[in-house]
Amino acid sequence: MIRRSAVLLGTFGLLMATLTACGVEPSGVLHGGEAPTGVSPTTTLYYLGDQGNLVPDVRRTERLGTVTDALALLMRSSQNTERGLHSAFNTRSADGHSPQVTESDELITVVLPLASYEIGSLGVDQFVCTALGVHRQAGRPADAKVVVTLTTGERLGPRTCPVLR
Amino acid sequence: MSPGRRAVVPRWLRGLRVRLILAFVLVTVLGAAVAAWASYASTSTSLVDEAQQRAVTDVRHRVGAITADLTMPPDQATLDRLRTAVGAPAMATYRQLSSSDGMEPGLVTAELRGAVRDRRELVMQRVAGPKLIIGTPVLTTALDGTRSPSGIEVYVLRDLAPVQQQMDASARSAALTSALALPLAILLALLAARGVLRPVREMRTAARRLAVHDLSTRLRVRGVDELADLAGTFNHMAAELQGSVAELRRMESDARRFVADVSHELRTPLTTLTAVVEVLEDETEAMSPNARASALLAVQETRKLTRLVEDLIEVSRFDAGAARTRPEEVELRQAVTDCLRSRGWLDAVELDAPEPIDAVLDRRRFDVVVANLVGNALRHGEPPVRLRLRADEREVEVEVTDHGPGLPGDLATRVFERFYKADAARTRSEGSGLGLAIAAENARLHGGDIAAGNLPGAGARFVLRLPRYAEEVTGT
Repeated sequence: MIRRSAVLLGTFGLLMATLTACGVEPSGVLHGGEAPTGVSPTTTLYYLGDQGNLVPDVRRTERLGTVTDALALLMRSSQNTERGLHSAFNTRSADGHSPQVTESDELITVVLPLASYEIGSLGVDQFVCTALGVHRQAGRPADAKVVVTLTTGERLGPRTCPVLR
Repeated sequence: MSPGRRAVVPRWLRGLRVRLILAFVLVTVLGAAVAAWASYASTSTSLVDEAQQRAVTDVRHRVGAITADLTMPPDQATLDRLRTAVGAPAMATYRQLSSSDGMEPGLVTAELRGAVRDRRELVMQRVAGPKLIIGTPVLTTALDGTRSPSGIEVYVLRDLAPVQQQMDASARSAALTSALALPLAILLALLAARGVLRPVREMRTAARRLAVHDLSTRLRVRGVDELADLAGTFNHMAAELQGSVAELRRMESDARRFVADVSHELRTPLTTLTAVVEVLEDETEAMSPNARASALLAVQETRKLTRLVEDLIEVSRFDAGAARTRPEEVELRQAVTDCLRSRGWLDAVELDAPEPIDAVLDRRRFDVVVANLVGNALRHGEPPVRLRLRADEREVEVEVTDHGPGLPGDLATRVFERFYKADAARTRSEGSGLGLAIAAENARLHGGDIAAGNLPGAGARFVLRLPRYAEEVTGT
């Protein structure tokens, strides 16, 4: 019986010990998933070369910025004469309007303040590639697509960038 | 358990009830503890995991929301913005630059710092407190998707105390549940104990009744469990015992009736035979010496036989329960004197009876007993034979002592057995061998007894004790 009492006491003790000692214990270094990304000293804009090919142009913006920032920058500086690059759109009628961007992981919707006669298919690719480049550098999915809407009502896409793989 | 240890255990701890309760409580506590422990372990693990995941997601989200707006390479203001966006306590570093709010750099272990630098992923570590340190590099993603460290590192301290409190509450409720199960266990144990103990108690009572010769005792057999089986076996045993005892009684009573019948059958021819040998005795004068010796032997043996048969009839009466006392007023000193005188023993016995004693008892039976004791002393002991008569208000005591060799060994207890002879070689004595047995029966019939023993420095000593004022008592 004494042995039985001892067992009983031991069980109680074990129970109490389990309940009290078992808290949030210190641990080693644990895996926590992907690190955040999105810092970049540059923003990449896309222009057209002599043969109408898409050429990346890296700008030292000191920050990555948003897709809207990049597209606005592209509209503002449609000609990059320094390197002999040009754009396939005309921003004279836009006059201070910025593109409107709605960005989700899978799809970027861009409303350009341009009419269909002011922008060619290559010009749309310039916007698509620039948007996808920023999107990707911000750490968002690489297989996102872009839909571009023009002021004349055309809805182009969803598209991907031919030079970004 | 050793006998020595058993002595230490209090008696109340050894009962079946207590043992059952202890066993139940033990099982309950063990079961509850294991269940509580398992549930607690899984709950606490998931609680901690969830809290960590929440903190990590929050940090990743907060950092990710501001990265696009951070100037590269960062200056102190940029780091301050990053640190503010993450929320205190936190720390953001870039090479030699550091921005910290509420977080000691010493808190971050070298291990964690190394992991942040090497692994290019978000890592964390729980430290005492309990607190969670999350560390992460901020990466730069190139256009082709490859990621590389930007040099910015963020460390965040998050308090896990709420989780700890949640776990404590969970533990307390588990303990409380276990505690609530205890009274239930005790109640169940009491019920179970009662179910077991009641048949056991009934069995004990039945066994006691059996021990005091109530052989018709039976148990009620309930159910079909082991206890019912035991009760059935008990009943079977009691029935067998009752049968055996009844059989033995029948055989004994048959034997006694046979003796009684034989004695009665012998008495009539013996009466005739006695008459004949008395005539023969009168004629011995005229016989030749040889014939006379034979005739006298025949007379002597016939008388002995007559006495034996009479004794047997007397014993049979006792056995059949037919013996009765006829109490009357008797003056005992006179009765003893008469007894000795009628047998011619007055000179051979020293009578020590200082005063007359009046009593109420069966005169004839008293005479038989005294004559038997004195006769026995005269025959088997050595003179002087002493008879001492005393009485108090309730009891009469007659003590007969001789100065012979006394009663050897176990004889004191066996001397009242029927046909018991002290000397095995002397099979034929003057007595019938029933004298002391009849004397003892007579004493018992009066509600008294005879004790046999030895008197130190003298011989055998027989003490007859009888109630002084007897009521009529029936023999068994």
